[in-house]
Amino acid sequence: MSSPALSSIAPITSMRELVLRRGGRDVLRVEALDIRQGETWVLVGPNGSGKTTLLRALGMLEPPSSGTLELFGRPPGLSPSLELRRRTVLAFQQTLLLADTALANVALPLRLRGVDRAGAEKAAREALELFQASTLAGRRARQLSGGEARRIALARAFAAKPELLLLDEPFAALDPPSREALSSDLKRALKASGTTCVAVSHDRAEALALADHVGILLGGKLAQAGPIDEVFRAPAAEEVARFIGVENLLPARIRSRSADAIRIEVAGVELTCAPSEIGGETALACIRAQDVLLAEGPLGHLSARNAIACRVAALEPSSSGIRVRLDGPFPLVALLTRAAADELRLAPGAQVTALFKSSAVHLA
Amino acid sequence: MSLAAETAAQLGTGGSELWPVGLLTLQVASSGLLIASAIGIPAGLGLALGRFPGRRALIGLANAGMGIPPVLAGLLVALLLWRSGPLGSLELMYTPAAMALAQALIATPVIVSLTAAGILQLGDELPDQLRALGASRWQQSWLLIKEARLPLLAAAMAAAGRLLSEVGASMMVGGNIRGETRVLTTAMVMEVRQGNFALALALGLLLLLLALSINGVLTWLQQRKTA
Repeated sequence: MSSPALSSIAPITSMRELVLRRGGRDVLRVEALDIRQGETWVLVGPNGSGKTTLLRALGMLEPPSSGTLELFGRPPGLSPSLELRRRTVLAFQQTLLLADTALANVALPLRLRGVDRAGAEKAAREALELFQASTLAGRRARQLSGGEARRIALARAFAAKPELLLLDEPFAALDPPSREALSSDLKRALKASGTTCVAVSHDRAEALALADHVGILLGGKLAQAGPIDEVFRAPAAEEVARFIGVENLLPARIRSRSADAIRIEVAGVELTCAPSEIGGETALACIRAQDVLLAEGPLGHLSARNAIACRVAALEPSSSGIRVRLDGPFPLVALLTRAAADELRLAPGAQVTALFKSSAVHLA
Repeated sequence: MSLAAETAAQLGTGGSELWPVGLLTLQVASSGLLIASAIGIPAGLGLALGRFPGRRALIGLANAGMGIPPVLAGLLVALLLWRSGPLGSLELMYTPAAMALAQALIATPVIVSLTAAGILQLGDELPDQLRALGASRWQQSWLLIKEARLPLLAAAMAAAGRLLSEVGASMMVGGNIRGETRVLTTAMVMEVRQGNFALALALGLLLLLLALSINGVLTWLQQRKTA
């Protein structure tokens, strides 16, 4: 591998103390965020968290209210040049196709950049290919279904090979199967082209499926940002943990620290967790439901450091499996596959042991 | 001879009288429409896309202007072009140019108002989406106009109908001078006044034919690529 040139080390976009205002009130504050070449970011936050406003600022459609925003190493200023704007493409949440053929729509960004018709259509066909939409080329925009229009809109955003691709809720209003298919097509296209991408979404699952980096927008600020496993495994704060769906958030008292583990106490029960930088005497132990295993009845010694005797309180089927609510020294939630739940013959009232590795417990 | 037969005869034999009048009607109306579009489409686009104080008031003014009485438009142009008026030195009074100017004044608010409405109907987001795809201001305007072509052609039809049928302005600044500024509507008024009902009816039929064929052409344009 050749050593990367300086320009590829410098972030594509960089934000410091950025404040975005809308309708006279601050909607989003970003203390610091750098997005580098080839990264796929999904910024996740509830509705009204300022996701779209941030994306519009990155797309140079409106300037930030204060702070610094740099794109490609320079601040875009109040009226960014056409050349600078054309290095990014922002695809809105609505597909907003023009009343023309799908091919003409996908070719549009190239035509706008002065590419002749033949060249633009060739590139457009390649982009349609990426999104498995070649057969739609000749169809008129209003004859397309919602999912087809979404594919065309993504192909259009991709067609001019922007250096920074900005996507506002790219899978909004799609049914789950089309969403998954489109998400994997998009991911493949991003990796194949090395395009840097920032998408915003209100859906955590979307972020998990698409991103390698994730930012959590909560309470008017960027609460946490980083590589996706880091953020999802070790949420920095309770609100982040709740938002990303860590279901077991247990107030804990720290008992002892050693090089390879921290002993904590939750409701009188001692638990072991992975070492962490966290200071202080109290913390919040975060355990994802899918990291909690169940065993029938009581158990002997195990490699898992944490074994808690519990009683099944309730079983809740969900799209990702069966959610088992447990009563014990403290309430716990475990996420099991349907098959596993059937095998254990779980029913409310059953005695089980809940197990989780110390590495599954994160302190926030 | 019955009125119908006489009218038919007028249409057939009166050709030398009728057709030049029809042709001038068409020339004046299309010049008026062209001037109105050259002003009205950019203005309507600016009103639809612009974010400046007074924008709503201007849209309201354009809407109200759609109802400007043709005689009033004629009067305003007459005041401008009258020998002692600000543009009197151009000596345009009682020429087809004066009539086209008055008609442009009638049609401009129609074009402005319906263009703005047509562009606004495309939604808040499309203009920004086009910019976000890399469009310059000019490219953005052109794409929006293309996208709003149906309402824009409807605006042209509405304006054309209004121009072909107006009498007041053409009479006031044209003067119904035979061979110079006589158009179908002013000729009809005159012929009826003189009791030449057959000729007036023939002129009326020609006017109707003109209006129908212009709207036919615009309708065809409107529906051509959208089937």
